[in-house]
Amino acid sequence: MSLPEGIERHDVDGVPVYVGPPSDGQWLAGLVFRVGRADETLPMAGVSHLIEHLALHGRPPGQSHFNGTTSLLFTHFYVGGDEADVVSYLNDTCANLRSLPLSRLATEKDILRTEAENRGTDAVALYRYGARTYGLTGYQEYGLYGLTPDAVRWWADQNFTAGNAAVWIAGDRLPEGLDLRLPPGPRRRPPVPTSALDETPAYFQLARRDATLQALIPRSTPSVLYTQILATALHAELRVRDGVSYSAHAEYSPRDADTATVGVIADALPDKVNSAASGMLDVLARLRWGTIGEDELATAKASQLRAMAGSPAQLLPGVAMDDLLGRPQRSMEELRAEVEQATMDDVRAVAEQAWTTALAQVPGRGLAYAGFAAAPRTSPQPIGGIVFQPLDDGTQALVIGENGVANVAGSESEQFVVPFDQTAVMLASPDGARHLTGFDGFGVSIEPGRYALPPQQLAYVDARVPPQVVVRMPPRDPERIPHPVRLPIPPTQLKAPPAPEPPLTPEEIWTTRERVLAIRWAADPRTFVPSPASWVLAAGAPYMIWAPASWDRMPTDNVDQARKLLIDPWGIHSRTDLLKDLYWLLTRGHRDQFAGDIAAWSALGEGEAAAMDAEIAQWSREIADEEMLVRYRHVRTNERDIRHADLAPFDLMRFLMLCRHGAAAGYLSEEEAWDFMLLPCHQLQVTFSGWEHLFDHFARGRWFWFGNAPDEDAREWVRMDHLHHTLFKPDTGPWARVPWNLPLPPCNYWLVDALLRERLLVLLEPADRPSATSWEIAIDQAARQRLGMPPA
Amino acid sequence: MPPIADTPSPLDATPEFVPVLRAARMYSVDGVRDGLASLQDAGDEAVTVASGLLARTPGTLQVAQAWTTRTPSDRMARAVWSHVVLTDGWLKPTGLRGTPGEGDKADRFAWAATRAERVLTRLCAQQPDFPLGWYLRILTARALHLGPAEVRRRHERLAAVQPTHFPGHDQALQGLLPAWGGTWDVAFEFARTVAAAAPVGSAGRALIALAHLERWRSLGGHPGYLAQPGVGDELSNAAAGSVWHPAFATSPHRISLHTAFAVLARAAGNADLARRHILVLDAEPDPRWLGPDTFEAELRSYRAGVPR
Repeated sequence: MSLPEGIERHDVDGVPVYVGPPSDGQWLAGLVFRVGRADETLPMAGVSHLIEHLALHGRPPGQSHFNGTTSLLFTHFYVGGDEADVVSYLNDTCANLRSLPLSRLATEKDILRTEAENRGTDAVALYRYGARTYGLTGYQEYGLYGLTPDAVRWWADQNFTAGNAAVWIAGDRLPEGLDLRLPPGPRRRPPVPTSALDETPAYFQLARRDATLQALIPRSTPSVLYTQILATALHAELRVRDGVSYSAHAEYSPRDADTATVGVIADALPDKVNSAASGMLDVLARLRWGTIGEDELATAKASQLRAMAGSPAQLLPGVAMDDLLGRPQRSMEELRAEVEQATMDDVRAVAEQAWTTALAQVPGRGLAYAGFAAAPRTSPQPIGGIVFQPLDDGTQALVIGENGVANVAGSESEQFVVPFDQTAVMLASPDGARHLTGFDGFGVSIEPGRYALPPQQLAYVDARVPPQVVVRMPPRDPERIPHPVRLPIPPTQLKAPPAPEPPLTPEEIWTTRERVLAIRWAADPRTFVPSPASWVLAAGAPYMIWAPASWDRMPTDNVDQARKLLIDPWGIHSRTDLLKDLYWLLTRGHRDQFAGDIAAWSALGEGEAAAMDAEIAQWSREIADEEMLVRYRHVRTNERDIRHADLAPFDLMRFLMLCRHGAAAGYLSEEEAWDFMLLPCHQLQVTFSGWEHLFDHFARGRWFWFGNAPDEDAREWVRMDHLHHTLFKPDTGPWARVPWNLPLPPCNYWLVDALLRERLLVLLEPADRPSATSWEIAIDQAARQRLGMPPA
Repeated sequence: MPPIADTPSPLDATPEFVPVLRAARMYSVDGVRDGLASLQDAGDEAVTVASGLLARTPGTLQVAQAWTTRTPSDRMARAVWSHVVLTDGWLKPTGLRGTPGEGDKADRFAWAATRAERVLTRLCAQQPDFPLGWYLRILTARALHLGPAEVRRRHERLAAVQPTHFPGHDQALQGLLPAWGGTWDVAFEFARTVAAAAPVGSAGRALIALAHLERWRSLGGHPGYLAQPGVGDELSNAAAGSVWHPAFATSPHRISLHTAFAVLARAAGNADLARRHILVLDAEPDPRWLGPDTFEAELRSYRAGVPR
């Protein structure tokens, strides 16, 4: 550990004292404790602040400049004046801390409540951390209502100790006469941050005239440089260039030993605030993905080096705080070297982290369009219990259950649940009102008047909430207590939520895929005699099993089911839609692109492959299509020998499926459907050696298209095994009962007639031929024949 | 040849765009890429017009998917992909996975616009000098209802790179109309400012005509609007400075703007002038401006006998 030049460490009464040269001839000093709002609990919130005020009580005003602040992790007492001022201030403060003037408690609470009226709460903190640790600044200081002298004394004894303190002095020397005696105690570790967000980047909406964003970044020199570049860019781009914001800037704040926050704010007129938000994201995106100018980095470095060139006095508070956090001290030379050596990549890595950890607060339009997730707006799990409907025009019902309470609005789409064992605070008013806040930040209001709540229900809640989280509030203004006059509606019993389902066994997976998968026969399998028609139907059997519909009959008689299957997911609403998709599946299908992908990806060298992996990963994330990345990796590892799979069966068997549903839906005549289906069947019969061979390639093609995540992948193969079992079952399996080599009748190419009649076909130009598929050429030839044109 | 779903066919476009559209119809990634690259010689606006035509051409989605799959960092591939997604609004299973099913149409458009916006945000961050990227972000700003201020901000980013980018002016004007949260005053002021700054013989000079066309339509096609003193003069000057100027003859916007002027002329009762605008075209009139309320049948009939 090396201290910045000019700073020395001493020890006085067990407290580390850092002494450096004075600033402009004036003595400055501070006493810092490693305790702040993040260490408190919600019922005790404000206790450190209260102790800060008590410790400064009795100091005559005007003799020297002094004050105290309570931040998330520190309580800091500081003074400016001459040597004697410093000594008396530090000594008096320690004396007050040794023996708190608790007779002042009520008065100081009132002063602090007055102070709080002029201070907002930090919604970003609340949304990010919930109702504890670093989220507590999102709440009022509830401790100002309930804290007893004993509780305050206890908190001081725990935290305002010699082991948890450090002093800094900017003066000519370590002054004589310091008396820093404090009770002994250990150094407090900063709290482990909690989280109320499911994912980041995230946003929440608040009707304000600015867009703000907070991100978590490493506490490091590159992060400081990033923040400076960001601040400069925000001003230059949002204010000077785009004119959408008056004040657009960014600020770096250390959170704990390792993590800092960067806070961004862009204010705007109401009609420009969406634009300010979008512009703010553009600046963040540029630093993350685009170009950071060499000059931008150089300017940030120069500015940082200038800031470090000042008096060591300005470093002293930070040195004391770093000591309390257990953070290694660094000399100025080391700090300067860090600035000078920081690279563009270092800054860009911070930019990446800033984006991925961001939490934005925006008015009006959210940020879902930018890939930000909405921060949770309702509790995830409902609770069961007795439901009380509001007697006034309030929309929220109250639920009191065995495990917690809830406010539920509408059809349970908006529910706020506080489980008793997750209660951060319960504010209890003398009139019977209760307001519970859960650790996740969601709150539930119990207004006995509004719900005509029987007294025993209130007693039930009170008995279940842990006593240490209850804060007794002063009486409310009678005007604000709801007293509805309508007659109560009898409470109804809500069903308890279903218990979470146990994980499925592989054997169960196929039966729980919405419907039981089994082969259906319209005829009696015992008297079945295979025919060419059965071959065509058998080739389409997998999709009839999944539909579900009888495999051995066409069309199915369920018109509604067939139309529904064509609409979702195929988007087919008409004969024209159907013909277009049939043509596409026959001539191109997914195999067209996939074959190109497989060829291109297989040909990559190792170095190229790694770069491509990164590019595809990025692109997949961007377009929310993770399957593409899975496919790429399957090709690279040649999973299931995908490089040699024939992907046509997957397209052609879906062609058969669409024909059958199309006939059932009335979009094709039965005769047309038979003829259309013969087209791919001829190809399948020639290409493959038997049903097993066909199954192998169909299964791999379908699997490749799915591009499932590994856990889903295992399920998919269980399904495919089941399909195989069903298709090849000796007595009822179509692929066991229909011989592969059954001769098929010739095909009339009625698909071509249908396409021509619907004006859906134009002929190939010579220039098109080199890139046409064999099916496109075959159809073109058939079309020319029908139009009486010579073959191309 | 793939089926033609839409009429009129994009292959009825002016000759310079036919090769790239034909390549899309044949699912040829190389053909589309090379076609767009060769159009780049004609300028960014031609590329933007081509991208718009591609976005309405069956087969382009598959091309864009294959193209982005193989070269995900190709800026043109990503732009065309976004343009298709944005234009289709709803893509079928033959296209993108995860498309919302049969639901609220607005949901599907919002879904598509969101996907495009994410791609374009990164694209514009990486390639701030790529006009097509900023042009498409004007489209997403409208689709996402981010409001006129954001439309203008994005338009200014585009204008900083390419001050005469007419498709960008055109889309920004749309975003400033009352239907998109703007006002007529702001829209007209914008159109006049752009027109005043545009070089003679360029499409920008005609922007004010599009503003008048939109205003006339908003009034239910009231014949009195175009007869007002000042409006007619403004339209004549706009036409003289743009579509009738010799420098405009090869503009990629000739189909669109002559069609718009034809509608305005016919609406003002000048069928001869409307006919001149239609007959000067080297392709079918732009369907964007044609509808039952804009004399579609009559204007199309002017081309009877003109070989296609």
